[in-house]
Amino acid sequence: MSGVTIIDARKSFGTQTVLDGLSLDIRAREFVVLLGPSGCGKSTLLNVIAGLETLDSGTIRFGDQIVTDWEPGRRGVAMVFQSYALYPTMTVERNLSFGLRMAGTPAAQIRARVAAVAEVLQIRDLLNRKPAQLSGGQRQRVAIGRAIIRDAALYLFDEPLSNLDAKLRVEMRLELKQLHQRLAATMVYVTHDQIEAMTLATRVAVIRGGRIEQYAEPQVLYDRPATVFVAGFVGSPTMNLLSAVLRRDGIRIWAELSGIQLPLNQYPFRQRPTDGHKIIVGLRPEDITLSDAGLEPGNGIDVPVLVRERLGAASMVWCEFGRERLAVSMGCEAADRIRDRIRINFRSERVSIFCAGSEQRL
Amino acid sequence: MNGARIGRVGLYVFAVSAALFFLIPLYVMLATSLKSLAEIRAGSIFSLPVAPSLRAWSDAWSSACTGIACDGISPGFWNSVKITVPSVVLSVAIGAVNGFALSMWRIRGARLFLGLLMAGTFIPYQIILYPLVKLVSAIGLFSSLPGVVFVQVIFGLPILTLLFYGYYGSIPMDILSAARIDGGGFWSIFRHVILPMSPGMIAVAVILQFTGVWNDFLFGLIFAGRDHLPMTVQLNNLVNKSYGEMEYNVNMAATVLTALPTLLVYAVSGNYFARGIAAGAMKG
Repeated sequence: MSGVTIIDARKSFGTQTVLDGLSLDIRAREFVVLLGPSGCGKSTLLNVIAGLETLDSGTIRFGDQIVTDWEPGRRGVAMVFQSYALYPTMTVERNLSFGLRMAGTPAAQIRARVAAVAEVLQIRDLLNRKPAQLSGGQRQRVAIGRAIIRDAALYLFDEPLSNLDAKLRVEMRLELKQLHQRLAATMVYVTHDQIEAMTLATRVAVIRGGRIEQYAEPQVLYDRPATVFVAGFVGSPTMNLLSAVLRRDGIRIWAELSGIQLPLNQYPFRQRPTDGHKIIVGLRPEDITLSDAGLEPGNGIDVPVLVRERLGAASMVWCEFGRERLAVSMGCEAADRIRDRIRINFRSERVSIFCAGSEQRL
Repeated sequence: MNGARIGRVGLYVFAVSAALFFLIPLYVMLATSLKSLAEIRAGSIFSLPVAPSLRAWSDAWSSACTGIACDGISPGFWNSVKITVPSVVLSVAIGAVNGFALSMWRIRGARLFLGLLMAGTFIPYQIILYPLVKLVSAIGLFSSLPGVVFVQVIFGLPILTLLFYGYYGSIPMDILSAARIDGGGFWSIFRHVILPMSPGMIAVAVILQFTGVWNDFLFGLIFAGRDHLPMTVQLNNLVNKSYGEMEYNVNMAATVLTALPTLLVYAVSGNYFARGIAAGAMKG
């Protein structure tokens, strides 16, 4: 079991730059999710790790071994594809054993491995079927089985769940998580689904335009997004992003939003804030609270309600804030009580502050 | 009677008349081949044979005169088999490998090569006949069985390569990627993954190439040499003889005999072809 190190990876298709000097360090036994919108280069990065694509420049290391120019077969990786990519003319059993047969594994050993994997994934009854005779979920299991049948140094997943229906997706997500715990293997997983990223990953690399925007644990990604892009990509609905101006005098630092002042004395600024700096204030819907106007007069701000969305466990209330829209999360009972205006409060200790120009976290 | 039914009747009328159009000449040939010469001279070409006899068929096969020799067209049949079988096997095999290489592996200059192939399929044979004769004799294969096979394979390759290129281009790349991850190399992937997906396309290619090579006259006449003249050339010698009596019954029998193998290939591979299409339609 080894980690993966990618150093300054560059790759272009024609005039389009897909990987733009990307570096990434994956520790052994980590479950790293590559998250980003389509076309951001995450799948290319996975193919590069697998050896299916070659780099224009840069280095890939598995542990101490430089594998940049190695063929996929030599790298000892296993991969699950979005389309499953099962061999259509082979039975499930032949699909599972293909890699072992290519490696010249003795027949008895192959039989034992196939039986073991079929047991784990509950596909014993399907061994003699062809892929065309399987349902989507069953094909997915076979595809995963084909990956885990070998003791791979690294397991790669390319959006493996996106062709499944919602219920099955949640089930398979759980199974993948368990699989990772049981195999204690290094896994790299590509998705554009931020819920998959949050639930599965030990660390998430958010990728945009062939570069890494942020590489951190899921909770850090959620609580302290490094850029406006990450803030807008992770979470559902995403972080409220409000334009504001940073103010400071001798003692106080605050953000001036339309109509209210948000104290920022406790905010851990990475660099010394300057007065008049244009900023973007980010706040999660659950970090905006209903304020009891009667108890604390002068606290909070009165805003008109646009829409109430019931999500079952909670409700999302959309309000008008200046010229921007604001999502506020609250319990269903509270949402039922509100009329056409509410008074809200910002939990200033939970805000994220970004520079409006560079879109980087301040 | 509603419109759909009228349409259906029209369809059958058309199908039956089209079938008759193509079957009447065949009937005339078969009927004539079973008649004696006297009967042919006496009756209409559409009349059924009065005393059917296979005499003309055995003459055509083993004793009719084709030029100087009078062994029938059976030597030509065996020559054609010797030319066609290796030509078809080699060109289909190489075409499949070429198509696989060009469509599924990144090869430098593949697009240029495909453009050249495309152009190659349009070149009329007559233009390159003379240089080709020079070339084949320069490598010492002129007037020989390998010579004519070589030429047939070369001329079959552009269209067969494009055929397989198109088909393999429709196979999802992920399947190739999966096989590479599983440790397969070029040949093992071709053999174990791609070839089993190809029976339908191979049937198409075999039909195409078999028909082309078996029916070929020009290359056989020029490159095969006196000892390996194919059936088509011998048929021509038999039918176009410039002396003696025209033995229409023998001519007809010889012609049907010459056409029979291609019909047989259609009948046999056509079945595989349909099955291959059905197998190729499933999604993996």
